[in-house]
Amino acid sequence: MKRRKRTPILLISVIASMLFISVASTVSAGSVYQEYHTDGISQPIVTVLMQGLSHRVYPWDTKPRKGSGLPLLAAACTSYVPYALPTASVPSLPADGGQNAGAEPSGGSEIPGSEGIYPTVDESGQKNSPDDASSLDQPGSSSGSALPDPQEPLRYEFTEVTQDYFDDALIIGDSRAVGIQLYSGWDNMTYYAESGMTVYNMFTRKITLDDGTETTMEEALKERSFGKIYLEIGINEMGTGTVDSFMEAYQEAVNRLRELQPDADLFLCGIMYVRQSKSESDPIFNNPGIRERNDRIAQLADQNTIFYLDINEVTSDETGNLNPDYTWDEVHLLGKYNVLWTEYLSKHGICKTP
Amino acid sequence: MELSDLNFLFRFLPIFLLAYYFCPARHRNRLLFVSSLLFYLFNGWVNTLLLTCSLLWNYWVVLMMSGRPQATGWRRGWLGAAVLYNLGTLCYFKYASPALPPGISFYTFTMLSLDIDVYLRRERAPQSFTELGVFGAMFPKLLSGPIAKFSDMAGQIRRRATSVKKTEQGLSLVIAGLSFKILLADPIGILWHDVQTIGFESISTPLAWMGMAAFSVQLLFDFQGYSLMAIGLAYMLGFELPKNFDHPYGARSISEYYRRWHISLGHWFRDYLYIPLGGNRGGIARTCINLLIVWGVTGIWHGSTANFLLWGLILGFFIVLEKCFLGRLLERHRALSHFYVWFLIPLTWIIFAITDLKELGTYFTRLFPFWGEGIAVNARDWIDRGRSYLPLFLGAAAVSCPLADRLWKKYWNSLWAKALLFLLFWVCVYQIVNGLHDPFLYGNF
Repeated sequence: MKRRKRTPILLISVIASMLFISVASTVSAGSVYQEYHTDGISQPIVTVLMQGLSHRVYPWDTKPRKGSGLPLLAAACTSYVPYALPTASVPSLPADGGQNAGAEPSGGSEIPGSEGIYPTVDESGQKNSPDDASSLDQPGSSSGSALPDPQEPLRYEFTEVTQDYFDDALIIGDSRAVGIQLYSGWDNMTYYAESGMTVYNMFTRKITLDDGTETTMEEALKERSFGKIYLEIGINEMGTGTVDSFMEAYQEAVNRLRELQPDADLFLCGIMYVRQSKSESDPIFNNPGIRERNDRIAQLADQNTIFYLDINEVTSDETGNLNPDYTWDEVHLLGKYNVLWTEYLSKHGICKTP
Repeated sequence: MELSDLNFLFRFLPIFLLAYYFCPARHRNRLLFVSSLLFYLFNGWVNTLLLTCSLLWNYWVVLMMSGRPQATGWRRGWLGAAVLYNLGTLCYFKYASPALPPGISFYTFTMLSLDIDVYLRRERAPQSFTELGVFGAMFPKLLSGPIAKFSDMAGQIRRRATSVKKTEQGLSLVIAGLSFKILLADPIGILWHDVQTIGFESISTPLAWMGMAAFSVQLLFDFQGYSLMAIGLAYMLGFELPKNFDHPYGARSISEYYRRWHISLGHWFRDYLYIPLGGNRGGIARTCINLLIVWGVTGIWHGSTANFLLWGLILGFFIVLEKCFLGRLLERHRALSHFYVWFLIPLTWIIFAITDLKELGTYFTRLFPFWGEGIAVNARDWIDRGRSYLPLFLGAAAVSCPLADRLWKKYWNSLWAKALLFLLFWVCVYQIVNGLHDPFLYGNF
């Protein structure tokens, strides 16, 4: 007993475990943790293993499980808060993914500073010209018009709508969508929004319904159908994978939504920018990267059942970054500015009245 | 580099300890001094140069003063030069420069205490530059104190013993401190972060109170965690640093609270400002003025914005009230005195936390909603948060109570306590890598 009291058990076990886990990390860094490769200089090698554990990838796994985990940033921020932030200091992002995300050509055209405006939508043409209106036989309606082309599906234009338009609308999204849910003041819409939600986990993640029951979004979408679905997602994913791998998952998510909700119009929301100071200092979460992704998302729209919306038209300043007055944490809108979303959505309704 | 940095825990500390324990005792001070400068070098070579200049200059000053012990004018002149240099650099970096060199407020106060003690002949000057270097810059306390006095340290610098038991006990304290910081302060700090992200206009009144509680608890555990780590690290090296916290929320008055919170800073201001001003020897009016001066300066020490001055003066005001009549009342009513501290202290921490006075005003209108209305307030915003943060607050309360102290003293060396600490260490490491991890708050002051 006395000898045990004199033995520095804690010291020995801490040192031994540090050595052991460092060795295990070094060995696994080349195999199961390839995705989390670090330079081994800026941070101790154990960070690789710790990142892996947070994605449920264990050193004894036989091969790397690609995309098996949550994106690191999302995982980092959802432990404690419902309204969490993808703004963790990122000492240990999967460097490969991050760098590729910023550097790899996306396959789409680079449109620096384009702010992702969908090329076929003429914002200034919201008020239909008399010709269009008459050709669609919508007398007395200032609502949307369809372009008459027998070869292609109708292409609808955005029009201003009132709040009841959103009675059958659903917003799916991450913490930024949670902001709309909690602070826009609109409660007639349905929200399947959770902090840290990504295109990778959106169908399997637990969400809480209005009546307090927990379910997955997949199940929820099978139970209830919606007329409009807004997908506000994409910033958490920036820490993982490339633009291409993101778009692959995004496209899959859109396809799955289409299967589950064949009658709904899908509105794909471009990722809202971050503040300039963050954009310039963050290798991952920056506006050039966001523009690259938004550009690709915009290409999915057909203006018939899939539409692209870009909130940045109202939330960015003249420098093309998130307006610094609208945010404290450089990423999320302050509560009172979530009304910008509802104002913007109201101006971008689609009416398909025959 | 910070004490909660993995580079410190996994690289600097093991290598340093290995070298330290194998190093002959007579060279350990040199090793510690050089290693501390190396530790500080990670904060930039300019800052390290500044630290070295400060040490050299203060060493020169104390040498000059002790060289001519009878020449009062000479000594006063050198003391003036030292005060001018120390306060000059401190004021410049605190109020005029865009970036504050880490730890400057702490090592400058440490140096000033040495200069003044040598001037007043309370202390003999350090026998070598290494002695002064170890005293002023030893890495456990370099960044955020405790602000030790030379009289408490001189004996230990010259002669101290290390032992396996001390190392083990020091390590236990280090892990406990790290856990305070990583597993309590940081997670609870997310609530305060949330409140700021939402914007003060849009928080409900219950959330405003929760946010205030969150910042208060975060600050306590962040700083107490750091202090415990510093004390533990020093103990591993054979030093005993002064205690910096003693259950501040057990206090029954604001004056008592600040005898238990950041104790070493309180002692510094008492010894080097309050008493030289006359302390309580000049009658009640003079005492009150002295207290207000001390608290105003304490406020300014924390930062250049007006909220810090306001914070200090409000504390000073209540301490004066306690001196005049409130103290006697509080002494008679135990429940009232606890309520008074628990109500008032968090409110003062909000003044401390919000540097923009307009924003501060907005926050108070949310705390006390009869003064104004919010914008886009979600009245239910506190419910889920209340549920998810309650365990953290309860955990914080549990480890803060005196019983936890008694259990620690009795059982820290038991097997289950060590198993728990071992587990906590790795949970902290996991959380440092994957969690929302803030730098130590007192690094800003």
